[in-house]
Amino acid sequence: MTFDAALQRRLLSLCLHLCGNAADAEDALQETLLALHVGLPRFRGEASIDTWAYRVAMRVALRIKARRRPEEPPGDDLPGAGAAGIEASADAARVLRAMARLPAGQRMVLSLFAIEGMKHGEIARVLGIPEGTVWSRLHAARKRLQAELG
Amino acid sequence: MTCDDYETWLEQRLHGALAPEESAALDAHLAACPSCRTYAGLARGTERTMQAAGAEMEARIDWERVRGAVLRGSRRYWLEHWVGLGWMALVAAVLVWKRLPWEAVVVTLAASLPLFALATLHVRRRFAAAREAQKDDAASLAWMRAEIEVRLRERRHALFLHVVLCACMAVPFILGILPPSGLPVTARVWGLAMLALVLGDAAYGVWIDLPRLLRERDELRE
Repeated sequence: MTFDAALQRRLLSLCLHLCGNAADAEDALQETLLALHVGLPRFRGEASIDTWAYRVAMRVALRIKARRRPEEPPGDDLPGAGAAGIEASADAARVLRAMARLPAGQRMVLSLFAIEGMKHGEIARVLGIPEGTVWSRLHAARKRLQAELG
Repeated sequence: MTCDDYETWLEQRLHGALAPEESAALDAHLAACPSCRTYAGLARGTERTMQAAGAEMEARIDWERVRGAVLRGSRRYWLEHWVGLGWMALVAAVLVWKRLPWEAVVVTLAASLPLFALATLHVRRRFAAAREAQKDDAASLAWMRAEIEVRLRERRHALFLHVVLCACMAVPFILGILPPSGLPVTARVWGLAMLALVLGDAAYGVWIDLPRLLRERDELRE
């Protein structure tokens, strides 16, 4: 494996927030790492490795989420069911379910901001949008999430 | 300044992008505005919950299983390349070795070439995400939507190609121009196998791939 552990952890977190459940997130991570592994020899270095990896992960995660038919339940294998406590688990499940109902553009921004250490400039580069749009999309996502969570 | 503007400032402060003087003005507004205080609580709360969920998943995931799956997938990817080449070599060898009549050669090639084209397309598409993501706007929704439209178009064209191909293979037999008994057994078995594969791919396209692409397009709505 050529990608460092910290990047892999951040990709997993991104996949979890975009897919909304642990099983799909793990599938998305595997597919992302495979695509990166196979695509690395052809990587032209036009963007940084991290930016490239986040872009691949986002597209793979959105595709995997779409693979699930609407009638298929997303499953209750959300993180938080273990030692972290029932309250934390319920919170995480509620937030991830509400996020799954957001439009893809808003979910992408919110997910990238939830990755620790990710700055708005980097998010704008990953998404290929102006920095001002990043803030407005984040605000719109947060408002909608507020409405979803009641 | 409206509450929306202050809420955007709140987001900027939460992510370390707000100037100190703006931060002081924001504090003054927060002291007087319960709605913005609620928003601030939600913003911090959801971010913490999301980070905690991510951290817990990191701790729970079996990294060895993930690495094993990636290595197996990588080997399968190269194997697919070699199997494709071997398949074509086998077709060529059968044609040369059996010295089939020209009708059989036409049927075999007509059946094999589109299949090979479809297989190549499948392998190229599979890891296209890795290459295409290098473009500056590769993660923008407009770009992703355009890419899905291309895939939808390709799938529809492939379905049309399947219909034409099946017709080309079936019509000579139906009209009696090329009676099945007039062909060697190898060519008949080959033709039937290709027909089954083409029909199988068409069924996969109609029942699985097209609905999935339409769901993907829907997923990328604004």
